[in-house]
Amino acid sequence: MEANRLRVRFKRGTVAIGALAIVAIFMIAISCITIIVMEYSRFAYSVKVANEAIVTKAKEKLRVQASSSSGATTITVTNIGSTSSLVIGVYAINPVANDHAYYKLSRPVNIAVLGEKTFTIPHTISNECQVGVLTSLGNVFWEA
Amino acid sequence: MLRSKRGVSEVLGAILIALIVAAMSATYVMMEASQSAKKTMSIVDLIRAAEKRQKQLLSLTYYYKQNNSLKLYIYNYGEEDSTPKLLLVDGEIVFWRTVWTFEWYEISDSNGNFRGKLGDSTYTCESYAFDWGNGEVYGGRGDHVGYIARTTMYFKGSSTITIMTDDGMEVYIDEHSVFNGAAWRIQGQTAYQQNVPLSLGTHEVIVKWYEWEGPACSSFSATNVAPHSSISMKNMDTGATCESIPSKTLVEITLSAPASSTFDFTLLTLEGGLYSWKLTV
Repeated sequence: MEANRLRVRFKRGTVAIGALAIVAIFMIAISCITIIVMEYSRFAYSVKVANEAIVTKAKEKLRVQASSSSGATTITVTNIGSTSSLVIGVYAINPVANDHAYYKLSRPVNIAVLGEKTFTIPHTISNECQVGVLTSLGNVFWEA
Repeated sequence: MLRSKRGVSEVLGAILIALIVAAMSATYVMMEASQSAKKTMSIVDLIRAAEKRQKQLLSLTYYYKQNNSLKLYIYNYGEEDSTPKLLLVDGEIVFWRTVWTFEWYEISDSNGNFRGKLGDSTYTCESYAFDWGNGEVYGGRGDHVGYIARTTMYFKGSSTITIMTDDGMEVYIDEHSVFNGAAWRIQGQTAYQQNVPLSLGTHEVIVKWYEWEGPACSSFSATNVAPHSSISMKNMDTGATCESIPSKTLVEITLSAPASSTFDFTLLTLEGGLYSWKLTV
């Protein structure tokens, strides 16, 4: 009688161990899936950010005018695109004289949609040079 | 009396079965956990690599030819630094970077089975030759140590692979064994050579090596590969030379000018980004 009761208890114990093992495997599987889903959501977010940057880049359009005076060049940029732009540098090139220069702006200039900004760089750019502005999205817009 | 003895033996039997079931369950759960962790980490690594590629956005802002030089101004408007690995002008290699990543392991037996990971290191060149003798190989170890080295090489066609090893070594190109296990054994310094038919382009190369006891050496070389070269790259923000294109930074790359006035320019980064531009100078 006692032996039978013990046998039943051990049977229950064995079943419990099996159940615990199944639960542990289930938990491992859930943990793995959670880690993968978290990583994938980070990846999806970076795809979204990259695609947004590419789309925004295509929306940029600036009109550039430049005039040089002694020791400095004044550049006026009008945003005619459908997104705001951040001007980070200026190209000054003279293909005939094979003269190419790049000036990084000490303070980038933000230009809102349909806005206009004028800034000065402390370099004289000759009238033969064509001036272009580089934006933070890698676009270059040249003086018309 | 007989019945009570039988009862005790039944109880003992039940305990034994319960213990066996518990041990088997625990072993199975641990094996499952370890396999799941490995598979999960490999998937996570793939996703992270893809994420890194997504965060690289390069824009060729300006270029010009001056005398025999071609100058390219590339701006990285992504969030991750970008390291050029391959530059092609009209399909011709003008720059190639070979970086080996070494994973160092403890060796568990004389058959060269790998156990725990000891650490990582890198080596930049298309070939290498290490002769440690009886000295330290890695992490204070001269014996019972091994590595798995990985790189991508640009082959111009079929190649002859030469290795020198003490003890065992094997080379895999695109997951195919080159020496078919002939060099994977305990041995003194021995050279092996094998011709491998390969198509033009990049191929994944993996080298496994182990040292059980005694002197140690390991070398690898391949013929018909694009040699590791250097390019002139200047950070336009700082004016300093650089090896990678930092995020939100303009760099100037100087190359030898191609003969033709219109050409395709291709840039492959270490992180896996591929960019192609058609240029006219």
